[in-house]
Amino acid sequence: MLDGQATGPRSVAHEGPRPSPKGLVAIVGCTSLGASFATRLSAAGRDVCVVTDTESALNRLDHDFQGFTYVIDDLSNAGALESCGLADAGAVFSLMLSDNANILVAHLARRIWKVPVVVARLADADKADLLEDFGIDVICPIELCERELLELSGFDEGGELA
Amino acid sequence: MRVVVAGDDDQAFYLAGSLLESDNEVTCVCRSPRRARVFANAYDAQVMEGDPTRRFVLDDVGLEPDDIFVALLPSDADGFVACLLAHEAYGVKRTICIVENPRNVTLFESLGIWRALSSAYLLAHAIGQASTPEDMTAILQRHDG
Repeated sequence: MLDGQATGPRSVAHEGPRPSPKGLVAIVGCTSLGASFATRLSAAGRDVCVVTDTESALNRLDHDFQGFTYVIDDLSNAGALESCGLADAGAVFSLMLSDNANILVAHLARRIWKVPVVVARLADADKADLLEDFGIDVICPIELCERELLELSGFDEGGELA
Repeated sequence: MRVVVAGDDDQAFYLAGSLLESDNEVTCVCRSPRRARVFANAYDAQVMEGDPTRRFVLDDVGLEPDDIFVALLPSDADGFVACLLAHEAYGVKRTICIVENPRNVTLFESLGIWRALSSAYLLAHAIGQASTPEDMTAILQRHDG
């Protein structure tokens, strides 16, 4: 159940270090964040695949990107995602711009395919409980940026916006 | 008990009308302000404007566990999240999701949606129950024809 309490900035938080996921890392959504993270993981030698519904979005990947790329019509289509290897992935990061698409992909990955590490991006932090209650981690870039902006601006020091 | 219809397309309009005709209490949640006016002008029902996948909108609807929640939204992901929210945040047991992709019928039900329905899935099952072409036409026969 959701409790409706105000919550702090969302980020992936764990007690102690988490073991590095094994196997394929699948990134759904070749957004700026998705492409940048995929490039970083690929440069670190991880097996990475990027799935997008927009072929031109693959241009966001660095020239050195070594992973697989897939273009599918519908990023919420379970069968199409399975054919990109998501069902056997060690980690799935759903980083599309649509909260609802990220929630569906994350539920498929965690609850149907039992992917050990699943992270979904949200703009609307009110939806975080729909993920966290099912063992899915949430990253909320807007809240992370807001927190940083408050610190940089000094506004939070007088408690004005906090 | 009431039925909450989340969606503002022609299917949602038809469903809301049918439910009202059979004397059910109905609340409609329309994303588009223009469609919300169409619903409000046509029906003597509570019509709310807003995105039924957002928590503050469903807060205003005041969902109760005994309500029936039907999502008829343009993307299957939106329908899934609306039903998931109704179930997780308000304890609604009977969540119904109308889906485009027939494969989502079994997937969504295994993810906790009470019933997922797809027209292609229903048709395939109706035809699948027929062992002969005569059976098939009998199943699809209109009662008035």
